[in-house]
Amino acid sequence: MNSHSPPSLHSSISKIAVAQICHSIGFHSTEPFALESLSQIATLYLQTLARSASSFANSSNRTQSNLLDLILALEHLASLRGFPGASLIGKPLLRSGALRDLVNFVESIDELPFASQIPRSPLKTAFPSSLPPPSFAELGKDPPFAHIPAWLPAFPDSIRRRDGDDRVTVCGDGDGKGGEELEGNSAGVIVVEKGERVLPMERPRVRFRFGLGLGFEGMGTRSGVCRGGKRVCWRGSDEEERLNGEGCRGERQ
Amino acid sequence: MNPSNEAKHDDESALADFLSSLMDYTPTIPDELVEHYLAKSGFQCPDVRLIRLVAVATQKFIADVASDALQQCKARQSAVVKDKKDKQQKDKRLILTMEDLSRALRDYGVNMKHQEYFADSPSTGMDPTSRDE
Repeated sequence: MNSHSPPSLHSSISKIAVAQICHSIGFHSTEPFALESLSQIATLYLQTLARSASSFANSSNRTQSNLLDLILALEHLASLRGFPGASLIGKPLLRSGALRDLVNFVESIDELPFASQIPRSPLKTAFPSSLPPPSFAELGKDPPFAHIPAWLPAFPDSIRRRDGDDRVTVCGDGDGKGGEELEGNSAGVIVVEKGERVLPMERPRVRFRFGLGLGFEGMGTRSGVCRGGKRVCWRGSDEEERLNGEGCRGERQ
Repeated sequence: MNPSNEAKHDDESALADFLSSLMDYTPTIPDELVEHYLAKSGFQCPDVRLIRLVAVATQKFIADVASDALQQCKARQSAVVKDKKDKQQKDKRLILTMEDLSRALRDYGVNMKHQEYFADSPSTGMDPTSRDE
């Protein structure tokens, strides 16, 4: 059992809900595997219902599903077992037998709320999904960089980034300043003007010497494959050179 | 023409009543779970009533399956009880088993086979002699 990945929050919640339904039907207890299967089937049923309703909506050139799509999806799923009035073709959709069954079901059972409160994720409350952030064009601003099209959502007023130290980088507030306010940080790049970038500081030069490493002291790298004298080297600072030299010597000994 | 129109009107008002009653109704399957799976399947609808309707439909399906399984369970138990009258009290507990569940689900078009060797508990299906060792 321990080899299973830990169950997700959704599957645990659906398990509890299904267990509540089974208990209300009259079961005293269940086998764990049976409960798991039934809750999996519940989520599959839900997803099939939703997928079929959204495909009915899409086939009539809509993206949002409405009640009629949902009734069609309900009939679609109920058609396997049949429902009253399924054979009548001209029957109006709002008087569907599948929906009537559902109404009767809701009236016949007691209301049984879920066992515990589920906290909403904080992300959802911060960004309500129905309202996408406004684009550059809607705000009437120019994107800070030329490669960003105007229909993309605008940057937030300040993008804060922490690179170890507490330097805060402000980027693109949109009122013409663009990326000019960028402060230098050692890890990144300073933007002087739009598009032009320079390194924050003069970087020390690095020097490499390519060799086989198995050559004897006297022969050096000029033996073996490197006979042609192929060498790659950048003129570096003295310190770097010394360090490199030490490294090489260490390797050979 | 007139009576049929009236009947239609009644039906529609009953449906509207039902839908508005869903606003105050709390289904057993929580809204958050339903919204998650709806969003996952591409269902877009801002209306809470439709989300509740989906939840109620799923609840009805599960309740139907579970009550079918319950009937299977009771039928099986009564068959056992006929054989052994003295064990009647002991067997009264109703337990949802894979056997009853898969039999009930077969009517709903779900073919489920339970491998015996995917054990519910570590000791299931073990040979008693090997367990002793």
